[in-house]
Parts: sequence; structure tokens; C-alpha cells
Amino acid sequence: MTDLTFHPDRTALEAVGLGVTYRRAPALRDCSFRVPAGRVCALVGPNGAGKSTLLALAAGLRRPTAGSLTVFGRPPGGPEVRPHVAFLSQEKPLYPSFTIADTLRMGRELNPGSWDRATAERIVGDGGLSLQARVGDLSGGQRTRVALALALGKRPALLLLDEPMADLDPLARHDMTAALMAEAAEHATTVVMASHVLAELEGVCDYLLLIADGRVRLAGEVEDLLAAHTVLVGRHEAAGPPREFAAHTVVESRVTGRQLTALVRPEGPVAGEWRASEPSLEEVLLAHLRAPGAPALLTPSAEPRSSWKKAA
Amino acid sequence: MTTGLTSRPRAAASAGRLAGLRGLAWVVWRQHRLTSWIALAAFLAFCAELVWLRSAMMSFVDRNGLRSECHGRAACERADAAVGSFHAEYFDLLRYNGLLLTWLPLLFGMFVAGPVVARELETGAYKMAWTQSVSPARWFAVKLALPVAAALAGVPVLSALHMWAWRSVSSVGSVSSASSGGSEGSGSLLVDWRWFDAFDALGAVPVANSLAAIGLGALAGLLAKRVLPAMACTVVAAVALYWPLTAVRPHLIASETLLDRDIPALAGGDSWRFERGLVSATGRRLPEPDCVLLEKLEGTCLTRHNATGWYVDYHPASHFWPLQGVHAGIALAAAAALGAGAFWWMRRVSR
Repeated sequence: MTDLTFHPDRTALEAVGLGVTYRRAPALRDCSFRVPAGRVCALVGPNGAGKSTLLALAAGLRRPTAGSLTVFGRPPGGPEVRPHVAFLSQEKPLYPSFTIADTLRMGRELNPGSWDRATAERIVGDGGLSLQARVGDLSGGQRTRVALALALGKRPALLLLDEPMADLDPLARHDMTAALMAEAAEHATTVVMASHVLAELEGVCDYLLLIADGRVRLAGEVEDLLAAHTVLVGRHEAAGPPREFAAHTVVESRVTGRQLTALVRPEGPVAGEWRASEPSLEEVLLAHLRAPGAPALLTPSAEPRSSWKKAA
Repeated sequence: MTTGLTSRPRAAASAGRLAGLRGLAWVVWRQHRLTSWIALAAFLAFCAELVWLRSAMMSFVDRNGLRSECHGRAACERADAAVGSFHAEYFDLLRYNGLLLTWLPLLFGMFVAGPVVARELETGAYKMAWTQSVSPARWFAVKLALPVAAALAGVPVLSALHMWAWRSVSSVGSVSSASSGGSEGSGSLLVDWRWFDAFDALGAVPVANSLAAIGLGALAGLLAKRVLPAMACTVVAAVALYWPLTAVRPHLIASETLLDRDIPALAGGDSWRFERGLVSATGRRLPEPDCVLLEKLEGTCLTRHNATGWYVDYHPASHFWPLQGVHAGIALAAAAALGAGAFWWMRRVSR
């Protein structure tokens, strides 16, 4: 346990040339990235981008067909890693015939030595749920709460969440997010949370992994990724992109009448008369999703430390 | 946190401690608690019924004096009538008990294939179960340990009780039929439920078959991944694998041969006569020649096929345990192979 606790330079998740083929169609292609330990990482992408596949790989439920993925430097699902990784899949599967008390006891029986009963019972109790209630009788949101209690009760060093809040009402979502973040902060848990609901992530995540079409598009600290982009607005009447943009990476540009709005990664000061502003997280994500041709951007901390096989 | 929240799981935990189960074993037992109780109740009822059946059959046989030869026409007519009413009252019951025991392994296989293995995959619950600290391979092993333990603890008892009940009347018929001087077997109490008919419900075979069915169910559950298809696959595969085994059963160990100038009967008291035919001077065999009944009886069949006599291949009753041993060995080998295949596949899909 001690060698997996928070260390500023540790790597929670690292992929090098990772690829997965599912029924002959590639779900992930040549993904390379790194998530440092102690981060709360948003895993964002459109439906079918490969988010769930990536989480299943990290949980040890699947194996890559190419490249490698390591959790705390070791193969996922291995005996050293297994006790320290918790996974909450999209369906939140639990045994419907179990009561909540049975479900929590299962957590204790299957995670001997690390089970945090107080935390698990607090999460369940905060939702006003009776321990004697049958899991099969619970609503979707209540089941999510129990599943999250089971995952957090394991006191993982890495918590993998797949669309965790999708079936919660806004109030419960707010409460659960707060509880989750408090736990993560207290135990320096690394959280990787997949979602396509941006509202779920703003202000919660400090790290971002954007995948689309099975490839990594953006990876790194949210702050650094935002700082690397600029929204430029100005008059532009000629055909084609403005000449001043040639020195920079243009992610996306749109023309409305005579006004051009562009999201660029400036490589220095931009010439010309452009109004520059820092984009919101949503603007950066949407621009990258709309422009699949834009080159991937990984901040230095998101580049794999292990052999970097291919140039980004 | 309220005090109510902390006291209740303590009560639940102590109930589990009463059962003496910890870790994965508790989880598996909790999952199949209802089925386990139902199975236990059915097991006890079956045991009680077999004990009752034995004593009922014994007292019927004793009451009607079927153990000793009958003397005089009236006494023998009474004995024949008693054999008839035995058939009406007990024979079918005994036979159905045997058939239930014969098909019991299939119940084990279907239970393992569907509720134990495939349901986890169908509902996605494996994603929760396989991401706990306990490894999927161990999880799978403990899941299978429950039905294996049930098969090892329960089926030998049922098989022994059934054999005990069957034995109490299996030798009765041959005594009275020999005395009545009628055609062989007609007066037997167990006319077509001899040791070779009830073979799958006697001795060690039900236990070995149950273990093989568990292995088959485990593999089918993993491969089919859905409850009903997994159960259906188990039934189809079990029948497909079992049918050839029953076909080769007479040849599992060396049989004995009876040679006769006249046509021998296929019913041979306590011995299992499984093949009859003509044999020529050179020793060439012609199984079941196409002669009409009259030809067979008059001996013209022999001359028509240029044969010197008849042969019958048979297993005497003393071959029961050797045959059981070889059959059980094959079933156990199949159980081991299927189980190993299931574990290999399990490691392949989980890691």
C-alpha cells in the first residue's frame, strides 16, 4: 500500500502505442499519454470514442491488442495493482438480490485489509438509504450511490469511473460529486472519470484526456491546456485563412459574415488586429471535436515517461 | 452517521459468521442462498422418499412371500398376482427415482452454466466482481466450488440410498421366476430395470457424471455468456457427449462369450447380453442375421448363413463394478478436461 500512495512524480496511468481492436474495428489506435498520480482526470470524448474501452483496460477487464497500458507502472489487473484500483462501470452492476448491507459486506469480504466501512456506510447513509433495502428495489440513482460506496470503500489509489453521475438528479449529482471529491482529496486518490456531460467536469477535474475516434487529442493539466489556446476574433474578407495564422496551429476557424472566429495555439505573438481571449474548457473541447484534423496536444506531464516509440 | 446504520450490518455479519463462511465463499453462498436451500430441501425429501420406498418394497415382498419359491398352482398364481401389483405400485416409482438420478448431473450442469456463470456475464456483474482485490481466477474457482461440494457431498448419498433401495428387490424376481418355470425374466420384479438398465443411477457413475456436467456447464456458461443459451448448450452438449459413451459402454471392459447350437435368449437373468449373432466354422461373426423367427427357432438360419452356431456377448453381474470404474474414470477425465478448459478460457478473458 505504501508504495502506491501519493507521490508528486508517480504515474497513475501510462499508455504507449495503445491499441484495441474490437470485432475487427479499432476502438483505440496508437494512444500514448500519461496521467500523473493524485490528479482528478476527466476522460472526455463523443459516444463511441473509446472511453469505456480505455477504462476497462485500466481495470484489467480487457487486454490491449497493441502497445501497452500500465497502472502505477505495472500491468493492470495484476496482483500488486488489483487491490488499489476500483472501477465503476457504466451499468453500475450489483447483485439485485443482495441488500445494501450484503453489498457492503461483499466489499469487505472481497477486499480484506483495505475495506473502509465507515466511508462506505457514510455514502450510503447520506443518501437516506436503509441498509436493509434490496438493491433490486433501488432506483438508478440510488444504485449508483451504492456502487460508488462499494468503489470508495475499497479505498483505491486509482478510481476509474465510467459516466458515474449519468442517472443522478442535479441535486444528488452535486452531493455525490462533493462526496467523491472530498474522499479523493483526503486520500490523494487519482480519479479518472469518463463523461460526455461537460457540466459534470467543470471545476472538478484538474486534468484532461480528450479522445475521439480512438485517438488521443488533448492530454494534460486543464489550466495548461486552456493557456495553450487563444480565441481570436476579427475582420477577415479574403478567401482562405489569414496569412498571419500561418505561424500558429489553427484548431478551428469559422467565418460569420465578415467576422472570423478562430481557436489557435499561438507559437508567439499573433500579428494583425485580432481580439484575443482565453477560451473556456467547453470551447476548447468542442473545437477539437469539430476539427478532427487538428494535431494532438500533450502537455509535458502527459507525455509517457517510458519509451516514446513514435513522435507525437 | 446514525447508530442504526452501524448496528444493523453487525447483525448481518454475525449471521454470516454463524454459517462459518468468509471472503468469497460467503459471497457465493449469499448469491445462491435461495437455490441452496431449495436444493437442500429437495435432497432431504429425496433421501426420505428413498428410505420409505425401500422399506415399503421390502415389506411388500415379505408380506407376499416373494422371496421363496412358490409351491402349488394356487400359491404360484397368488405370487404372479403379487408381482403384478408390485409393478403397478412400486416399480415405476423406483424407475422414476433412478431416472431422476440419471438426469441429476444435467441439473448441475444447467445450474452452473446459467445462474452461476452466464448470469454474471449477461448482467455485467462480472465487471464488479472481477475488479475487487480477489482475482477473477479465484472468484471462478470458488463459484464452482459450491456446486462441486454439493455434488461430492449430496450425490454419493443419493446414489447409495438409491442403490440400497434397488438392491432390496433386484434379486427377488430371479428366484420366483426360476421356480415358475416360465420364460426367463417374465416373473422378475425388475424386469427391465436390471443393473445394466439402471447403470447411470447406481454406484459411482452419478457422482462422476455430475462433476463432468459441472465442468461442461462452466465452459458453456463462459462461452455462451447468456443464461438461456448457456443452459441450452449444456443440455445439447451433454446429450451429444453422453450418447456415444453409452453406445461403447459394453466394450469398456472385456466381455464374455457364450456359444450355443440353439439360439440363445437375449434375456439372461442377471447377466447383460448385449450382442447376439451367428458364428461360422472359421470364427467369422454375423451379428443379428436377417432370419425370420421361425428360421431362427428351426435352425434353418444356421444352414442358410453357413454358420456352425450362435454366440452371445455378455457381462455377468460381477462386471458391474469394473464397468462402473471405467465409466466413472472417463467421466472424471472429462470433468478435469472441461474444468481445465474453463479455467484456461477464464484466464484468457480476464488475465
